[in-house]
Amino acid sequence: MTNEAVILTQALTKSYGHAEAVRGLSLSVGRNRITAFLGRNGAGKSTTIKMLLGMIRPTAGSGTVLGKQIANTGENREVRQRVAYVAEDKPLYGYMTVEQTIRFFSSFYPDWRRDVERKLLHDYELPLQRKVKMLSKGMRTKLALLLAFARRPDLLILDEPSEGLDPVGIEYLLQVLVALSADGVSIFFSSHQIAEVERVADHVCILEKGRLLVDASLDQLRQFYRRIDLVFPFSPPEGEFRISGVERIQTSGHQMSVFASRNAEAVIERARDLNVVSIEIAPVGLRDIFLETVKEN
Amino acid sequence: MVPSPEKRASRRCLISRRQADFAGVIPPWKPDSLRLGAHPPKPHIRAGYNVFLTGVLLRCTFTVIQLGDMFFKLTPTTGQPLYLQLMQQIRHGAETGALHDGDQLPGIRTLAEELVVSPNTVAKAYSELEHEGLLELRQGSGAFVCVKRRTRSLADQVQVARHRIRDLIERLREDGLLDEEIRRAFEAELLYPAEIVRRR
Repeated sequence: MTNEAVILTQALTKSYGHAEAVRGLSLSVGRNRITAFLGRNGAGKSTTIKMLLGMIRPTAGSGTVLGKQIANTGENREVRQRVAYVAEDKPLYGYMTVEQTIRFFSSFYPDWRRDVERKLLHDYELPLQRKVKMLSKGMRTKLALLLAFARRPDLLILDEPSEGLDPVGIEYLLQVLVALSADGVSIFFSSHQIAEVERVADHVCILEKGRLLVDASLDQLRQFYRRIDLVFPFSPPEGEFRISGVERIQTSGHQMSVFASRNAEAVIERARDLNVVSIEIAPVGLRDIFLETVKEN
Repeated sequence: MVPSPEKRASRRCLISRRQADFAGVIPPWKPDSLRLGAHPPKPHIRAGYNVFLTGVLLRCTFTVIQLGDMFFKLTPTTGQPLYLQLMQQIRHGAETGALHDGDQLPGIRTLAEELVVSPNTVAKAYSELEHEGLLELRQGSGAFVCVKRRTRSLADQVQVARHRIRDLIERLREDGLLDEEIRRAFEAELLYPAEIVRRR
C-alpha cells in the first residue's frame, strides 16, 4: 500500500450547539503501529472515534480511514468491514449467552479466527453458558474484546479497552494487542492506563479540550522530554531560559525547575554560563508529560 | 566516621540496586550469578508476569524476561527508548559471555509477546544490531548472535570498569558525599553523554 496512514484527518471539528467537542483535529495514525490516544474525560476522544467510524458526522473538516472518506456513507460501509471497533460502553445483547453471542457475531465474518477465539476463551475464562446480562463488567469487556480480536481486521479501534479489567486482564489484553500488531493489524486505542500505554504503544496522541497537544513517538518522548532542576547562587533570570522546547519554568528563590520537551542541552549550557551550582536532569515519564501538558492548557 | 561492615554492605547493595535503576546505563542483571547458574531457568511468562504485578504495586511498571541464559528488563519510565535498552542488553549479553556466538534469539513476535512491548520495538532493536554486525537475521528462522573475538575481550573491560566505578564511589563517600548526591551526579553526566561530551 502506498498510503502509510490508516487514519488521516484534516481540521476535523465537531460542535454540539456552542460547545466544540473536537476543534480542528489533524491526526495521522501510521500503518502497522500501536497508537495510543490519551486525554482527560470529555477531551473529545470518543467523539473523534465515532466520527472516524461514521457514527456521527463532522461539523467541519475531513478525514479518511484506510483511504476511505469518513463522511461518505458508501465508503464508510466498506471501512466497517475492515475495521474492528470496541466501544466504550461495550454494547452487547443481554439475553444471549456468551456462546450464542460468539456464534452470532462470527456468522458475519467469513475469516473469523477460531484459533484466536479459542485462545481468548481459555485465557479470559469466560463462562460459555452464562447470559451476557449476568456478566460482570470485566467479563463483558473481555467478551467485547474477543469479538473484535477474532475478526482479522486491518485496523482495530478500541475506546478504553482496559476499563473494568483487573491487572491480569490488562496483561492479557496487552499481549493480544502485541500479537495482533505482529500479524500486521494497525491499532488505535484510547486509554487512561498510562503505565500500560507506556509499555506497548509506538506512538502517542494527547488530546485536550478537542485539540491535539502532543503527537509523537514514545521513543521521541523518552529521548527529549526532561525535567532540569537548577540551583544558582542568585535569583535566576527566567527570561534567559525561555527558549524553544521549554514548556514550563518554575522558580523559587535560587532554585529553578525547567520542563523541556526538547533542547534540554541548550538549557544546561545556559545554566553553566550563569555559574549554576547544581544541575539535576531527570527523564520525564508519560504520566508527567500528560499532566504537565494538560495543566499548561 | 567509618560505618560498620553491615552498614557498608547494605549501602553497597543499595547502590547496585540503584545502578540497575539507571536501566540500560548499567545493565540490570548480574552476569556473575548468571555464569554460576544461580538462576535456574523458569518459564518466561511467569517470571515476567510476577514482576509485572510487583511493578504495578510499586507504580513503576517494568518487565523482566529470561531468555535461555539471559534476562531482559525494559523500564518504560526511564528516559531511554525501549529499543535502545533492548539493544544494550543484547550487546552486553554478548560482551559478558551470557550470549555465545551462534545463539538463537527468539523471533520478533515471540519476544514482543513475552516482553509485552510493540513488535516494532523488537524489530528496530534487531535491525540496528544487524547493522552493527552483532546479529544475523535469517528469514523465517530468527536472529542469531555473531560474537567476534574483539567483542569477547570487552568482558574484561567491563569487569575493570566496574572496579573503577566501585573505587570512585568509595572515594566520593570518603569525601563526605551522600549516596543520593553521587547518584544524581552520575545521572546528570550519563543522561547527555553524546551531545555534551561532543561539544566540549
